[in-house]
Amino acid sequence: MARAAAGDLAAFNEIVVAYQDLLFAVVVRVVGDREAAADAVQDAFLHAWRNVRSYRGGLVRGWLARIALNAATDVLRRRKRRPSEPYPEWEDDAWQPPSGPTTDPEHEVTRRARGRALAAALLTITDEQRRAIVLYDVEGFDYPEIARMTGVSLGTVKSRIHRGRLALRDRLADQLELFRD
Amino acid sequence: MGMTDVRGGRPPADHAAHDRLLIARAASDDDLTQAEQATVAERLATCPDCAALHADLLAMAVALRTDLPTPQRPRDFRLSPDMLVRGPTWRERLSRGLAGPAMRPVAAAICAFGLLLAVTGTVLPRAATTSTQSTVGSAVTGAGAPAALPALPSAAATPAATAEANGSGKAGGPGSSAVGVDLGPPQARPTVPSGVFGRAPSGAAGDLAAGGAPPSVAPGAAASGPDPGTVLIGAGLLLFITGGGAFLVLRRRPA
Repeated sequence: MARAAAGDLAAFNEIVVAYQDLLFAVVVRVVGDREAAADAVQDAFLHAWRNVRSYRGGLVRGWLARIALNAATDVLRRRKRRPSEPYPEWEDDAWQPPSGPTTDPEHEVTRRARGRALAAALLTITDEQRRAIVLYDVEGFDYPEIARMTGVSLGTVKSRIHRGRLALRDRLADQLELFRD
Repeated sequence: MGMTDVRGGRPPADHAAHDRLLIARAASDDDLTQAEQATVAERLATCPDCAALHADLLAMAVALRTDLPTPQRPRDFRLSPDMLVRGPTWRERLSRGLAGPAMRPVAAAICAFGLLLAVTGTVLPRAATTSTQSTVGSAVTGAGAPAALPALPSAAATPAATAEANGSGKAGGPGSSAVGVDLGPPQARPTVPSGVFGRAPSGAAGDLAAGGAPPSVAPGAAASGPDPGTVLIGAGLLLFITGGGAFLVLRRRPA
């Protein structure tokens, strides 16, 4: 970070390489659209480069995730202004996780079905709940990190996670057997 | 709800009245008080729906971590030097456009037009007031004008009063004044002279100088709507200041 802050683009690109998968995963899950997410992540890295001197220590991961979340929020805001923008195609092959050679085929089918159901249900809950669940349940950030990233209190973060999970469970009411095997 | 007690002997619990959020908190290891923990334990033991909800939430949390498809990024996000070259922002473009030398005459013209408006605003209403006051002044002339003479020096303390006092001086002595300030006693004044500079809607300066009587509307003047002279002066001064400011800024910052 120190080299990047001194204007070393190569050093900054090392950071990009280290975190681009994480940021894209976070943003695309929040936004739900690969193209928009890719643009948002690129914007986030550009913003981070231009503001690298404003980095005040702490986890680089959290700093970058916060910038990426802001970019994702911009995408969601634009989408609300233009609701005709299409939602993603969840059958996109790029979303399928690689299956190992030793995996039980039946188990793998169920696992993929669970993943698809969850991904689709995630898009139906509120933006705030989705953001909190993606950061906490999917990416493993802790409560204080999420509170700092999203600019809300710890209690609000927890409440969004709990309510988001309840909402997800309601959305998945007719597919709960996938989770009960 | 058709539920049966998991322990068999107890009556079915009313799941609709149970706190789902509490179950959700318990499922994510949120800090629960001892009382809440006891409630959750009781619900999980007696209410099958609560138990199912708890189990589903736990299973979903695990699935979110392990089963959600991993999105493959469509491209490399490393920055290249050409990506860092950005075009001017809208502010910079606007600033450059406004800072062009072609804008200086425009600014000067705006400034001159504003000045013209302001001057016009000072002249036009004054003529109207003068004609109004001629009539009123004639009516008041024989009604005790000399009694108001002592008010003149204090009235001259303001520019408006000075101008009007000068006007009445030219017209002749007291009692023969047909133009200018009302020379009657404050309580008998039928008009408030709509002065030129420093004129406020309440007529504060002139009125206070003339004795502090509340202002009255000049006969013939419309009671509703702003005075056209005031509007002209305001708009003119605004344009004058804006145009002049822009002219000075453009001189300091050539394109």
